[in-house]
Amino acid sequence: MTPFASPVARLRLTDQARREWYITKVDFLTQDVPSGYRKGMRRELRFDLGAAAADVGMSQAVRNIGPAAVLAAQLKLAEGRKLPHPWTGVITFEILAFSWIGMLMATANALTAAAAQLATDRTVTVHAAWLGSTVSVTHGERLSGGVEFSVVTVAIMVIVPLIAARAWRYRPAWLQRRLTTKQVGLINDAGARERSTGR
Amino acid sequence: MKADARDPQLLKGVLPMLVLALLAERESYGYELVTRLQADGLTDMATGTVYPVLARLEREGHITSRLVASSSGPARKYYMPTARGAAELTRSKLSWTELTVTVATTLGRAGLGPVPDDGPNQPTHEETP
Repeated sequence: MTPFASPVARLRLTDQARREWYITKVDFLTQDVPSGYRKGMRRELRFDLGAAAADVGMSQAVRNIGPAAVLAAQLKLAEGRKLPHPWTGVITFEILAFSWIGMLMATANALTAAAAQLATDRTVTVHAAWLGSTVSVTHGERLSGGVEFSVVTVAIMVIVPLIAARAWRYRPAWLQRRLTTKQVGLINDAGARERSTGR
Repeated sequence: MKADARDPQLLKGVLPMLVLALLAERESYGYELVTRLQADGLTDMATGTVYPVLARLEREGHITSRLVASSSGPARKYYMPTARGAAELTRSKLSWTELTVTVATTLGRAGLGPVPDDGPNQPTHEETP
């Protein structure tokens, strides 16, 4: 049964653009939440803004719904997932970046020392390979060195973080349901205790 | 006397209950719910306020939804309460009634409103024969 259906006005191009811009902003600001949820929200906003526009016009409909940032923040809260704090990501990245730089420096030092030992009266080049990339140091009349990055290294450095950024936030639906039920149960228990001790 | 601007925190606390009550009356989609709330007097409510409430109620299993395809545009999403939602509505209505009685009693004693006849914390006066 569909008890009430607000007529959806045929939207002008400018109104469609205004609506899509608003939805895009909300969508962008809710990147943290699962894509299925965001897809549903986009669809709902698209229809509801159309229905509201039939009553008050698209400009007013967008104004009435409130700032995109506020709606996005409230939606993220309502979605209820306990996601890692952004600072956790920043600190983790810093630790990994400094470890990476430290490892490169140690490798370069080791190669320089090895080349110096080998090069008595000749020019010696030593290499070290890692993930398809090669670090080389040449010891001769002059000391020189370089790093050759391979496509594999670049792919690993780019693709792995992208996959990991999604995966480390992933929580299976069954686990989420279990945690939510447990959380609601705990809140209800606390409320019941409060009510019983209050009387 | 009517308050010039309603405290949003007051509305935030009761909005899930109001949404459940309206959906118990009849299923609705987001914008329709807003118009129904506004028609009931919440004229200053932003349309966007209702979506997080619907999302939370749905996540907690208090409401469910269905998509109705439309030939003239995007599909609309209708919400309706579940059995769990109906129980939650009964519980929150009871809590709200208890709270309003308590608030009225306190305000009445402070001279800021009428004291309800059957307030639980109302001071009693025993008459001696």
